[in-house]
Parts: sequence; C-alpha cells; structure tokens
Amino acid sequence: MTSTPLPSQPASRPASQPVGQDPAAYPGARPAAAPAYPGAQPAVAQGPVGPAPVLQARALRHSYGEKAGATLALDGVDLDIRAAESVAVMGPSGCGKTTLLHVLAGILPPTSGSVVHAGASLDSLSDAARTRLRRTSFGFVFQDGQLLPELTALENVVLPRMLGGTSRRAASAEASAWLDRLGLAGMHERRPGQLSGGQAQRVAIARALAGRPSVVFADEPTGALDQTTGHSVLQVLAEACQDAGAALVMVTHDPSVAATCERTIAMRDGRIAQQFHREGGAR
Amino acid sequence: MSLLSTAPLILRRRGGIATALPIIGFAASTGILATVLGGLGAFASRAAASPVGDGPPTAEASNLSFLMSCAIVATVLLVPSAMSLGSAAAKLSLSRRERDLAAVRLVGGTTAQVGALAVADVLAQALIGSLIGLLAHLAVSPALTALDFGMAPFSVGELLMPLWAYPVLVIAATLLAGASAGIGLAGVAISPLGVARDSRIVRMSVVRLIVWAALIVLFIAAFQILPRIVGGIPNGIGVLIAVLAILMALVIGSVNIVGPFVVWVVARIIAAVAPGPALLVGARRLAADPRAGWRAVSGITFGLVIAGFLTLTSMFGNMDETASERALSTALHTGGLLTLGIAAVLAAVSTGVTQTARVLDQARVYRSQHVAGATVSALQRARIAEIAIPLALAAIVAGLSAAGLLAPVMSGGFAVGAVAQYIASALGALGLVALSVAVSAPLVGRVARSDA
Ligand SMILES: Nc1ncnc2c1ncn2[C@@H]1O[C@H](COP(=O)(O)OP(=O)(O)OP(=O)(O)O)[C@@H](O)[C@H]1O
Ligand SMILES: [Mg+2]
Repeated sequence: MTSTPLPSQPASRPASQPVGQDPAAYPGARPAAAPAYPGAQPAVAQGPVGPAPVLQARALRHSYGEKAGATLALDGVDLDIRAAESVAVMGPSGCGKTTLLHVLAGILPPTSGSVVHAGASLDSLSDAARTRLRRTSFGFVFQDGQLLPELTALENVVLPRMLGGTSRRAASAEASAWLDRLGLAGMHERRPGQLSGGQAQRVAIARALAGRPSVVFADEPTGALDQTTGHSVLQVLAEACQDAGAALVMVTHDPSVAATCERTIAMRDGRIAQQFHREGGAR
Repeated sequence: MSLLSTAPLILRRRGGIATALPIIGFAASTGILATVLGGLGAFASRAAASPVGDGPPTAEASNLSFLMSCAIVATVLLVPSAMSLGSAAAKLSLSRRERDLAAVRLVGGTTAQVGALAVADVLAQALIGSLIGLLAHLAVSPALTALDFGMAPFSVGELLMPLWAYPVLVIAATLLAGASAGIGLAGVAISPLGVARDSRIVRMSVVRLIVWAALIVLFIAAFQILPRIVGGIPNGIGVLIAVLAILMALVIGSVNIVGPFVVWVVARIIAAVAPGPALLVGARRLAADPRAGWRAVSGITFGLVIAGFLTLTSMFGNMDETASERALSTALHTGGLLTLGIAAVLAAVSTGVTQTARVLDQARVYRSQHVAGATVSALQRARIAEIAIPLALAAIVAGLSAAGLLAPVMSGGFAVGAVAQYIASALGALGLVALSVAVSAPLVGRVARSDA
C-alpha cells in the first residue's frame, strides 16, 4: 500500500460528462444494447467484453415472506460484475436495489437463481464460509450505523483485519495508511461520535478497503450527508476502489453520482429494466 | 392528551422478551422486598411478644434480641440490592422504548408528552411486575415456614407483612420505578431523529478508589476499637453488630463506587494492548461505558460481599454448649443460608436480565458486524470478554473487600471452613454468569442473522 494522498479534486479523473440535457435520462450515459422497449429484459446485464467477471448472478429471484402475501423483491436478475468496474444501481423506492445488493453479497440467500464468485456458487457455501467470504473478498459501506461507536477510527478499520487473523500491529500499519490517504490524518484516535458524518463515512470506506476486497458494496452511502459532502465522499470512494482494484456496486438515487460510475443499472419491479454505459467509460 | 390515547397504538408492538425482561426485574425486586420485610416483621413480633421480666432477660429473650439485630443486618444487606434491581429494570424498560419515543417526537409529540408517555409505560410495567412479585412472595411463604431458626417455626401469617403494607409496597415500588425512569430520561434527549445521548468521553475519578479503601480501613479500625468500648454496656454485642453492620453496608455500597473505576482503568489498558479482536471490542465497550459493564456483574458482587459477611458472622456461632446457644447457632446458620440464597436469586435475575438486555441493545451492531464478515462465534467471544473482564475484577474487588472485612477476625485465628465457604460462593457466582451468558447466547445468533 502506497500512502500517496488521493487528489482531492475531480479534475484529474477521466472527465465524466456533467449533468445531461434531458433531466429524465441518466445523465452522462447512453443505453448499451438498447432495449427495444422499456421493460424489455436484456439477455445478461454485462459490460463490454473484458476481464472475467468477479461476480456472476443468474436468474436471481427473491421473495420475502411466505406464499400468501409474499413480496417478490427480485424477479429474474442476470448480472455480471467485472473486476474493478464501478456499477451504479438506480430505480424507484422498493424496486429491489437493497435486496439485490444483499443477495449478491451473500447476506440473503436468493429464493432461486445463483450467484457465483471466483468460480464458487455462494449457495454451495456454508453460512460460516459465506461470512468468511464477506470478510475477505467484500467490503461494505452502508448509510449509517456501521462503525462501532466505542472503537477509535483506527480500531474500526483494524477490526475486520484482526478478525481475519492479521496481527494487530500489521493491521494497524495498513489501516493508518488508508486513513491518511482518505484525508483523516490526525484523527485516528477519535471515536465516530467525534467525527463529522463525512469523516465517519471515510472511515467506513477505509474499513471496507483495508481488507483488499474484490467487490465493495455501497447502499446509499451518502444518504445521510448533505449534497456537497456526499459528493466528495463518493468521489473518494470511487477513486479508492479504482486504486485498490476493487469493483464497486453502489445503490444511489442521485443521477449525478451514478454518472461517475462506468455503468448504471436501472431497476424496476425487481428486474433490470435498462442499463447504460458512461461516455468514454473504461473499456 | 390525545397523544396519550394513541399510546397503545405506538407502544404495543414489541417482542416478547423485551417486554418480559423489565417485568421479571420488577417482580423479583418486589417479591424479594416483601419476603425480606415480612421475615423482619416475623422476628420483630417474636421479640416483642417475649416476656420482658424485671430481672435479667431470659436466654430465649436475649437470643431473640440478638437474632433481631441479625435480621436487621440481613435486611440492610438485601434491600438496597433489591431496590437497585428495580431501578435497573426501569432503565431497561426505558431503553427498550427509545426508538418508539423518537417516532412519537417525529409525528409531533412534545418532549413533555413523550416524557409522560415513557414514564406511564414504566409505571404500568412496574405495577404489573410488582403484583406478580407479590404473588410469588405469597407462593413461597408456606415453604419458608419449614426453615429451622432453633425455635417454634414461623407460621405463614407471621411471615406475611401486615395487610396494609402490601398496597404501600406496590405503590412505593411503582413510584420508585417511575422516579428512576424520570431521572433516566433527564440524561437523554429524545429528538425526532433518534436518541441523542451525551457522548462525552467517560472519565472516572480516582476518588472512587479512595472512598472504598477509606471505608475498609474505617471498618477495621472500628472492629478493633469498638469491642473495648461496648464491653461494659448491657446488650453490647447487639450494638456492636449494628454499628459494624452499618459500616459493612457502606463498604458493600462502596464496592459499586470503586467497581466502575477499576473497570474503566483496566479496560483501557486491555484495549490498548489487546492482541485479538474479541478482547479489543469487549474492552473498548467497557471503557466507553464502565458503569453498564459493572452493572452487569453488580448483582454478583453484592452476593459475593454478602457471602464474605456471612463468613464473618459465622464466627459468632462457635459456642454451642447450652441448648439456648445451640438454638442461636442453628438460627444464624439458617439465616445466613437464607440471606445467601436470596442474594443468589437477586444476582441470577439481575445478571440474566442485564445480559439479555445488552444483546437486544446491541442488535443493530451485531447485525452490521455479521454482514461485514464477523462470525457469530466472534461476536460471542467479544461478548464473553465484555463480561469476563468485569467479572474477574468483581471477584478481586469483592475478595479484597471481604478480606478487609475479615482481616480483624483473621488475627484471632479462624476457621478454614469459612474460607472454603467464600470460595464456594465465588465459584457459584462464576457459574451464574456462565449460565446467563449461555442462556442469552442463542439470541446473539438470532439477532445477527435477522433481516435488519
Ligand atoms: N425484510 C423484508 N420483509 C418483507 N418485505 C421486504 C423486506 N425488505 C424489503 N421488502 C420488500 O421488498 C421490496 C424491495 O425492497 P428493497 O429494500 O430491496 O427496495 P429498495 O429498492 O432498496 O428501496 P429503497 O430505494 O427505498 O431503499 C419492497 O417491496 C419491500 O417492501
Ligand atoms: Mg434500499
């Protein structure tokens, strides 16, 4: 891990087109394999030909509750996530975005369908093995309530590594470097209650990335922040993931945030309705 | 007060355990208070009924007055811990409700309305719990008549409190719960967005340590000096016991003062050097809230110090020559075991209730840690560290306190049996905690795997 500070200005990033002309469209994006009509189901929602996917979802269905009165939250989702790509998941409230993230990450078992990570199907793994997988291969940044309030910022980042068996000393060295890179130098010993919302989210980002995950899942990571702070946190998240070579799957309601991702998936009623690739996005 | 009329709507839905825990606490607290006070009344009425002649008091009468002071001591030992269980139950009931109350604020309830709602809720639970506790008290009283105090057995009628005392006790217990809830609310601002707790970093003063040590020294000094002073006074032993009992109660009370300080210091040291994740998380949680960490074992600590006290009083029983002295010795033995038994029930209830409550309070944290890859067994280990640290400290503090209480007797050469009795009590305490951790263990898994 180098400890070069990340550029704090977006200028050095490949320009993602700013807000588009049509406010209804997802800005800075163009349809890929444009569906013939809205709601048409794409064969497999995957990016352009590239490296093998780190995560492959096929025919995912998930329903909450028993037969009578069950909610079908996912209704046949096919999705590939390639290494180090960034994917935004958008759609109206209740369309199944959080459910999709939880199923992809092995937090919820799908009712049917499969999720394959590194050649292994998640449902073939035991609960303990899935838990280990989440610790070693995935990182999480959720809206709130995820840092342990009693631990210092540094200890929060160190903890998952220690759970994985890394010594405290080694994990602390790595974690310090991450916190410094995310602009939190001098705040390592503060508890989450002594940090601003944006700073706390950056600690969460450091924690998600310190385990060198192959995929980072973020569910409305800036939902609790004001817009300016939220954008700078997302910038940091996207850059840190890119630096670390981790794929990013992020649920967001903000089109300008989605525009910073290489790919945007629009969901409706538990299905992928459309997907878009960013202009000039990485091939 | 249209808001209060909506209370049942807002406050109804809640898990079974969450409602049951505070009620169990209130029931145990009131039931034990009634039983202890009823027993005290039984001794008092016997002592009052015994003939008060002109000449020197009869053996039976002097035994009774001595037993009466012992009963007072037992009451002094048990009542504070029963009452603290009641107030812990009130705080528990309140914390269960915090999220609901925040929701009430969000839909427009004022702070005063929310406060009234919260206190009313606690009062209702305290009332239900107290009534259940009284039923339990009535149910066990017949069994207590079988206890042998070296005299005519007590009747059920003697062991019950006078009729007027029951409504008084229920009202007092309920009001006490309401008052602790009110005080608890004062430290918590319930905003529409949730509960904003004072998040200042906790600091504990070393004065706590000094108070505890000073009281022990005072007790030892009193034990050395007082017997010479009271030697000439008739009934001197009763006075001696009473004075020492008060000092003893203060030492016991101060154990709860020094406890959080010791937990705070040790937890911070452990957190700084912890090599493993469980110890790190457990110790940090304790350092952030040492009072809560200590409260989880304070019932046990009370029990341990009471065990130490009984070890001390058993010194007075080594004189069974006459029939009367044998009777006295039997009474002290029975009374001692009874006190220890009641202390154990208090300790079991308070430990079980606080452990379960702690898991429920941490539900969201457990869930998010499990999502981020912490196995349920790692969560369990952190929880065990969180209880093992204060338990070990409790055993040390209680042991030192008891050693302080026993120091004066040690010099006079004393029974090995007494030490064995204390060690057995300590092992019993350990067993109780292990049991309460085991009983609440499945809950951790359930909470961690639940759909948040
Ligand atoms: N634990 C649950 N039990 C029952 N139904 C649920 C549960 N969680 C979600 N649902 C239902 O599943 C559907 C999808 O929910 P999900 O949380 O995935 O939506 P979402 O797209 O993340 O919405 P939002 O943007 O509001 O967060 C919704 O209809 C919701 O009501
Ligand atoms: Mg959601």
